[in-house]
Amino acid sequence: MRICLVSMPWHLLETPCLPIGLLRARVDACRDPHTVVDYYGNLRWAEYLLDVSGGQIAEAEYSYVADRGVWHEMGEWIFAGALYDDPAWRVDTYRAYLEARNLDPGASLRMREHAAGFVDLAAREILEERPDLVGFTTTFQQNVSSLAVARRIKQLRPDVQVVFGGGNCDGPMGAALHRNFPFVDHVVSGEGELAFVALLDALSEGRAPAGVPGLVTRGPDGESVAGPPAAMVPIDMVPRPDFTAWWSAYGDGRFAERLSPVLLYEASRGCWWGEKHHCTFCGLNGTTMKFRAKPATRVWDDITHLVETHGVLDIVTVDNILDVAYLAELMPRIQESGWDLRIRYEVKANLKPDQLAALRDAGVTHIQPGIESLNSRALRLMDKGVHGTQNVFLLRASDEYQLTVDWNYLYGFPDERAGDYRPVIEQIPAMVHLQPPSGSVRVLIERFSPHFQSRERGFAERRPSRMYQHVYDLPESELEDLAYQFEAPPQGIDEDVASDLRAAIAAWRHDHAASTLTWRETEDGLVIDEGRAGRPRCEYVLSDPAQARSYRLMERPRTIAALARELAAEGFAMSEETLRRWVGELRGAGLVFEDDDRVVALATNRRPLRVAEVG
Amino acid sequence: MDTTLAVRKPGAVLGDRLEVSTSELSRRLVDGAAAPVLLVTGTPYAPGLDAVTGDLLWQAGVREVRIRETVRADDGLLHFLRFLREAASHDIEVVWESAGDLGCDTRLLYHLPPRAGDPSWRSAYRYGLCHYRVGPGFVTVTDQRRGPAVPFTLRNPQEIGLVQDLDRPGPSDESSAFAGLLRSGLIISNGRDALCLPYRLRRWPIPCTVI
Ligand code: B12
Ligand code: SF4
Repeated sequence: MRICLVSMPWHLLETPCLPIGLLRARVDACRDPHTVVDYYGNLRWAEYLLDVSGGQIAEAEYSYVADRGVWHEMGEWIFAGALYDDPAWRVDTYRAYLEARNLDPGASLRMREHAAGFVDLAAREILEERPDLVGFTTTFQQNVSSLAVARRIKQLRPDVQVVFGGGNCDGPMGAALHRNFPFVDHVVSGEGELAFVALLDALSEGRAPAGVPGLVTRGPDGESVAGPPAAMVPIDMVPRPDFTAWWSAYGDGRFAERLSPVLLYEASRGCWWGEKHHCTFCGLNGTTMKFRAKPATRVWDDITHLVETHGVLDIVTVDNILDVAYLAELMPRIQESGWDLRIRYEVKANLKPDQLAALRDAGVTHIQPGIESLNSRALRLMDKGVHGTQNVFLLRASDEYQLTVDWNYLYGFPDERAGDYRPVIEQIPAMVHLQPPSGSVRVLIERFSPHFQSRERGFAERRPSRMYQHVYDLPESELEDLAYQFEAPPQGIDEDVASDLRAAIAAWRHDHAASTLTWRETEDGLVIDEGRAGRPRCEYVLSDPAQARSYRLMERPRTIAALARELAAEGFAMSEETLRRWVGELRGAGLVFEDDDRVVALATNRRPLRVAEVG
Repeated sequence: MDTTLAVRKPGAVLGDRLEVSTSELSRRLVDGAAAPVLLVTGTPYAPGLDAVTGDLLWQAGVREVRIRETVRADDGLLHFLRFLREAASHDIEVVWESAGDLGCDTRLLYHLPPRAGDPSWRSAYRYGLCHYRVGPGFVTVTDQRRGPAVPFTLRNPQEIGLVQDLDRPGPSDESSAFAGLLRSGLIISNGRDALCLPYRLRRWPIPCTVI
């Protein structure tokens, strides 16, 4: 068979498409040989927009819809007019939605005018490849552009088989897609490595593919027939991705000279933390939480191959969580290479200093540690398994190890109280020299999360997010199965506390660039340089050795009792009461952060190297 | 223990500044006998300066270097530019002055610590403005001295060899690789010797995505 694998907008322009890279490599496991071609509808759309707008709608406008619009189904709305053959489709609903939230539409309104023309062009370009089967991969906002092109393909060539797969097809979402869009012949729900091969084998042998695990297909009367749930894919069946076709499409296209490419890599699936304690808001890993990781040697071989083949040193790993074994087995190997990599990794927040050093030395420059909150009680409600002070430690240590941290402050958890936020809000001005969160938002209810799965958790009255209203012509009962994001009446803290938190974080973001707080050992003792915005420049001098030593011990989070014991062991005996008074003094000057009877130092051991964002 | 926190005006610490001559500098750094602010006396391109690397300055905790003597456009200039480049690679501030024209297009130097009294240079300077990164069989160069630009890749072994060899001032040559790098402003030459201008990126700034 001739197979065309398609990645539509709004997949990012600078990255290959990982599922296509994997599935293309898996086709080799089929019984019959097949020819695979890729079609990067995302790149073609962005080029199309450049052309029709005379260069006015370019990569920045595209990224706005991909990155910001993803929270509002902007990209889906742009193509919904083409899907429903109605240029005016839900324009008013969309405008009202944006206005109510004071959102900038970006170039979305102008983009919509060009969507139908592009859909026709894309369908024809795909058909020029003479495919027997077209596979669309859909995550984030790739549903509607894919559906629109699939529909057009079926109008032009009804005999072509159309298959959908990807994050948007996981669990009931895949069945809903299949049920509601009759021009989709098959949907692979969940991991594709086994199901796609089984589907291709059935089709090339002329068998009906009904019964393939993880596949939804059509019965004799066009009705949806779901196979049994897919078996979990063993990690050694996850191949090294093949990005060669993407690389030439990208290189031949017009964005190679405007963007810098970033490779994607997947070393593991599932989450070892979530297997034991599923964070209550987390919808990652759809149906399979079971953690599986490639052996470090394979990861190293894959990375070497990808870096050498493409000459790209920037890598984003899509793992949900770093395999702890990689710290000892993989990172030193990468470090030995001597290559100047820049790797992004999602990690658990309880990393120790030597582990952070191992990451940095290997070129992991960017981490997403799932910080979410700085209060232990709120973190317990989320089942995060870390203390507030551990998170603050990680923020401070990240500056010391020169790691960029991505994080968000989440609130709105059932059973949380104002008291879980007020003390943090009060201490935020002391932390402005540390990396601020990108923002603070009321937690969203994601499919597959514990918040979603059990209504007793407090979000009983949930319904599909409003944003789906300006996209789909479907009743709420169908959206219930198709949607990924849900909303419910707010839980936890009220708007008063929430707006104070947001204001404190906005001030943190504003003051960060101009703030430092560093300590150094001098002949006079431990000296802390005050350089935080909003405070007069000064030096705090901890000349008493007990003062200096206690501050150094507080570099790692400790309870006051533990701190007193350690100080006593080092010959600095003092009562817990004295120590409390001292910690109170430090907190008064904003030199420590306290939460849940634990304390952690805030001053960093050297000033971080920062570069301001341009533009 | 005394539980009151002592506070004083900034900059009162003894030993924060150290006067040191160019010829002694690297030895002082190796010995760890440095200070956050170094006041450097002596000719700014004495052999002592040639042994100073960015890593050495960084590990010794140096934040700022003040060059006392005026820099001139003569045979030592490439050596001084090498020193600036090393400091720049770790974002260490260098305060220096030049006597008149440097005899080259200063825009090629905008990724290095700006000289005193040159506002265009100062406003253009940014960490990482022109740097390179090493990969297996290739070198990725980011050069934004003339404005925003995407990185490009060097794969020609001769070019990569020159980037490495001209880490210190070395002889100019007649090769086409040399001519190409000179044309693109990645090396600078005084006719006899040449120096590679971008530094190897050793420390990632926060956020690491901005360069
Ligand atoms: C890495 C990642 C990111 C990275 C993206 C990096 C990049 N450039 O691609 C970053 C950090 C930027 C990111 C951001 C966001 N993400 Co995210 N992210 C992931 C994550 C962890 C991995 C995605 C991945 O690449 N997986 C590996 C690939 C190979 O898996 P796959 O695409 O599912 O493909 C397999 C199958 O689906 C199937 N398949 C796929 N396509 C096809 C096609 C055919 C024809 C067939 C037969 C089979 C098939 O086979 C493949 C192999 O098994 C997932 C969670 C997860 N574990 O999947 C969330 C996930 C994709 N993200 C999600 C969300 C919501 C977001 C955000 C909105 C914020 C957030 N809540 O985190 C933003 C939006 C980003 C944007 N601008 O669009 C949701 C998506 C929901 C949805 N239905 O679209 C997910 C599922 C989980 C989650 N709750 O975060 N994310
Ligand atoms: S939020 Fe992260 S750590 Fe928690 S269950 Fe999800 S993937 Fe695992």
